[in-house]
Amino acid sequence: MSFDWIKMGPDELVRDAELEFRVNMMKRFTAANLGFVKGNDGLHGDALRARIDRDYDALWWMAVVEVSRNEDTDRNRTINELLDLADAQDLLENVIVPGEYSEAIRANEPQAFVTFFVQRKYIERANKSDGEAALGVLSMSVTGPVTPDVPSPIGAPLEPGTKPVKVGPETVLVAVIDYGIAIGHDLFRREGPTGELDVSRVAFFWDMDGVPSPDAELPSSFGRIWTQNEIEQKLKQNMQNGLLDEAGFYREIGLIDWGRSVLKPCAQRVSHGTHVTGLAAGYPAEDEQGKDRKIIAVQLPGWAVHDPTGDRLDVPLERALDFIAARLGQFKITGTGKKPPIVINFSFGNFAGPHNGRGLIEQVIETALAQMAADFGSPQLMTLPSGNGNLSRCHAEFILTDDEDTERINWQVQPDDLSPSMLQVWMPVLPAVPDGAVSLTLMAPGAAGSATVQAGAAPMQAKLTENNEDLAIISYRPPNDPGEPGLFEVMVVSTGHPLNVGPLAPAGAWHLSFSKPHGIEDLTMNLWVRRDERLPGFPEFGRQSYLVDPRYGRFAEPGGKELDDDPDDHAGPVRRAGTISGYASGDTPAVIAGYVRSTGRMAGYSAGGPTLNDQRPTGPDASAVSDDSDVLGGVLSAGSSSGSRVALNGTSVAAPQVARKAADLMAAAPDQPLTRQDIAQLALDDDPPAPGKPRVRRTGGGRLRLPNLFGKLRWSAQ
Amino acid sequence: MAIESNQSQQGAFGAFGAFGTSGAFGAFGAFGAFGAFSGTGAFGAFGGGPVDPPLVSAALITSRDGIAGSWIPVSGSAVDPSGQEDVEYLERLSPAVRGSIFALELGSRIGFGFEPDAADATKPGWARVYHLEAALPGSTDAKYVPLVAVKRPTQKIFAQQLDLVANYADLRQDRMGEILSQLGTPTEFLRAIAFIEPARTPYTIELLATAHWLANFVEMRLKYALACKRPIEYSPQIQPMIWTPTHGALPSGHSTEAFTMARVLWLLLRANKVDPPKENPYDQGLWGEMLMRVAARIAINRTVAGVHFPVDSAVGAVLGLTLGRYFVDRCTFVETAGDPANFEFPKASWEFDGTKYFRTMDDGTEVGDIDFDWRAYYDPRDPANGQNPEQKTSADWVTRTALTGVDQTQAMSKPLHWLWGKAADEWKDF
Repeated sequence: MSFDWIKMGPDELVRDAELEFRVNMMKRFTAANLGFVKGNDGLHGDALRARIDRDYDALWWMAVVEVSRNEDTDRNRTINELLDLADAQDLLENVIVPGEYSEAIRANEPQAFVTFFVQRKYIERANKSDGEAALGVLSMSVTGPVTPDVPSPIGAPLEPGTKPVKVGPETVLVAVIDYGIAIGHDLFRREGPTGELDVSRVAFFWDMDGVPSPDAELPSSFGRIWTQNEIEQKLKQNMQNGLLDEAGFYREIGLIDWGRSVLKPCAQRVSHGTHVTGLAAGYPAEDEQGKDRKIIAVQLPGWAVHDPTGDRLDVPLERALDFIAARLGQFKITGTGKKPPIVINFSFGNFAGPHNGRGLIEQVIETALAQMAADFGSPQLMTLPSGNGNLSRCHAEFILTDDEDTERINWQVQPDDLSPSMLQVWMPVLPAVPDGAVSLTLMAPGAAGSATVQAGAAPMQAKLTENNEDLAIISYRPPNDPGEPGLFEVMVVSTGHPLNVGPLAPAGAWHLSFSKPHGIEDLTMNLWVRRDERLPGFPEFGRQSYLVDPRYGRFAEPGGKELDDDPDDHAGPVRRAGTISGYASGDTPAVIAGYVRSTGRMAGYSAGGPTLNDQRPTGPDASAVSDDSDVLGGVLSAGSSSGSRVALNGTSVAAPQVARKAADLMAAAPDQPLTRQDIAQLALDDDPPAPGKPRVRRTGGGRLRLPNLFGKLRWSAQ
Repeated sequence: MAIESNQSQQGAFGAFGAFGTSGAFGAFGAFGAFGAFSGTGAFGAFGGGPVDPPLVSAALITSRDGIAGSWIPVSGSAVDPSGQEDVEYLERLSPAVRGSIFALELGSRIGFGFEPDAADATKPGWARVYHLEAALPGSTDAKYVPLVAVKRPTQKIFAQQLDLVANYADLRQDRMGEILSQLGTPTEFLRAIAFIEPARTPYTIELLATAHWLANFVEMRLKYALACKRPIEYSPQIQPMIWTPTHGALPSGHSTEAFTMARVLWLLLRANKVDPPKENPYDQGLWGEMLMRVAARIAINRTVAGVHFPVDSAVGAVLGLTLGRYFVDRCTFVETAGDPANFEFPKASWEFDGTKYFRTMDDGTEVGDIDFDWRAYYDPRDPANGQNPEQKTSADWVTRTALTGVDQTQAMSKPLHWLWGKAADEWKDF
């Protein structure tokens, strides 16, 4: 093994190391995963590389683009202006604008964020140092690539869905963005005129993984939308002897089709989306309450959920929220013509991000919610889980001072990790970053030498290579604006792979050392390792890397329980505090942590604050039950098949219970806004200060007393 | 002797085993490999049968020696003979012995022939199963009547089916408990739907075991003739989670047996006609629906496990449904000729042409990736509302040919009829 550390020269520097890493450095792994390297077509060497490149360049990536300001018009660019810029760079063929953007929007509406489908050429151009001027792209987050078997998204503007949907005055919409949502479950159905359960409470379902169809009532640029009407047709066609033929229904809806190699979470006994939707809006058919809760469901695409770092479920969120807003626009309360209130639940969390509310997706959420509030005026609330990373050892915080001017942290990258491992280190916000304010030196296990990048006014990047193949990149990215923090990133390719992909990154302890010269003010640094674990029901893929520090005591005493709170005398940078999900650091959504019903203690994994967002310094707003007891993990809700009940834990299941409660509150007071502060107050009322109450950075206002929805027999209150 | 390690760890399977190493069907102990089959004989639930330990035999010798005394001859009129060929006799036999009798009753009327493709012997040919209309004693008239025939799919279809097997592997973790429990007989799962229990319904268990025997008897001969390779032979990536049995893939034994027994069981549950206004609760379509769902699940789990293609299950379903109906017809004796109610024997023969197991795309290409859907072959409908269940011909590869001139009086087997009656009595609504 001959490792080389290479510092990138000024013309090799990219604006966003993460983009370069995902799209280029990981290319040989992604190509292998997609089966591009066949090995039985007689090609090798340069010819093979050329063929792989050709196939790879043809792939589409979903990108959320932060749009830059047009100096001439003094507002953000419109989509057409972005396309003009792309045209000027001869890249018009390499970008698809989803058909949901109308002609009018493309021509006239300045955009803060847009979702495009782009090919590698576009990404590379945007990532060059002059990318902002050339393409109007301030920054970009990508997921994918979209696997080749998925039809290309439709770029021509589509007919919008404007048919009004009339509902009663007690109606509240519950929107769920998730993965693996078995919409035919009996908890989402009601009895029809024939006495069979063939009335669906799902008003709209966008299966982003679905097979597009020209027959769809509501067209979509990718995936397939099912309206209540279409769902009911399929339900009626598949009723047999009073039961839904689930195999037939899901085959016809395309959620379970064994001819497709796409993941089929609804075929598993436990599916995350079904369980979450059951908690948020599942009602037995005979429960009258169900009549007034209409479901809008969005299923994230498998090619995004399966994305190597598992941390990029947020990119499709922009389209999902746009879809929900557009559907909300179709509803009308009979009599008043007003829009019904809406609760939106997104039960996913990540580890990384700036945690100051200004991350890309946090801003996407804020923008979308603000727009919905402005357009519709009815009560709205988004619920998010606080995250499950409390014990993951994926966060460190340390202060570099003149006296303590160095910090050393070991980052354990696991062997046989098929997905990349990545971490971020955020500087504090500074009016100007002095050159050399912080140095980060990286050493790799088994490799001699090191690379150093420094914070300052300019970006810096260095790579670790072996036989000219990239293994890792270390970068510093200066802030885009004075109010933003500078960012160090370390990204390492897979440490294991069954196919012949070339050199793998070494597994083991990667050593990071930070130092600050004298004379510069004290700097509080925040490090988060990106989430990278196998999601339940998925095949073995990622293995979570984590930080190692001897001062981090995992256990109270040897053989004792794992500590789930940093002890008061905690030393060292690695913390449980501050592991709250990056997505959950924004201003507006209600962030929910998880506690154990039987003991009242927070669930060990339930992540908490603080955050770096002044609007949300302590972290979660409230907490709900995520485990019935220490032995009976999780809470019961819908399994994939009708009649099925399964347990699932995590803050993922706490959030939708609060969504359900929020819907009830909105139904009782449909003209009153409901904010996360209201939820926090409710929690405080339910859980007043008392000895034994968990600390605020883990529980927010407190532990909400919500009804035990489906598991009363599992754990009854003592 | 079945190998110890191949025995089921769960004694319960012994209760339902049709096949014992020391029981009636010792020759068939070979498929005891998956533990359906108790080492102590056909019906372990009944205590495994009487045994002769040497100690007791020695005691009996000395005891007789001591007490029998001088021999007293017996006159010819001392004891009346038993009635010949009389079903009452069956009552006095052990289940294992009865099993032999039922085996001959069924097996002697099954014929088999293989009809190769006329033009090209390597192309799929027809494996044909017949019912024999046997002559009455004294006559040598006999006639084979078609019952069911199968043609295997082409290799191209199997290759396309393999994609489904690979995709179904996603469910292995989910279904592991079921797959391992289903290595034995379907009865373990049917008894979760109908109230079958060894003490409560011993004859039902015996009847189902007999139907199971028929399914196995026929399917094994078809597997040999059709010689279809298993998924593991097509790709090293399938890596099944259980041993792949040595016999051919198509038809699937699990599917055939499960569908035979499900159909027989539902017919049995509905055998007792009750006078209105009382109703037989088992007439409700939901019972048939659930029995067929479990049969289908057992079949599909074999694809999940990686040892069968979906088309194997489809052939198994059609074969199993046909044999189930045939079995019940051989049991249910028609008093008056021409009574159409529930008696179909065999009005039709069924054919499954595996070479037609594909769908045609718009551009004309034929794709053999069709999944197994039991509803394509059977509709339980709702007998309680006058809609009788029907075996279906909607699939392009399944054909039904009506038969004429079949002598229905040749159908019945008195011993099987006796067994049917005993079993049906166990389902009278008390």
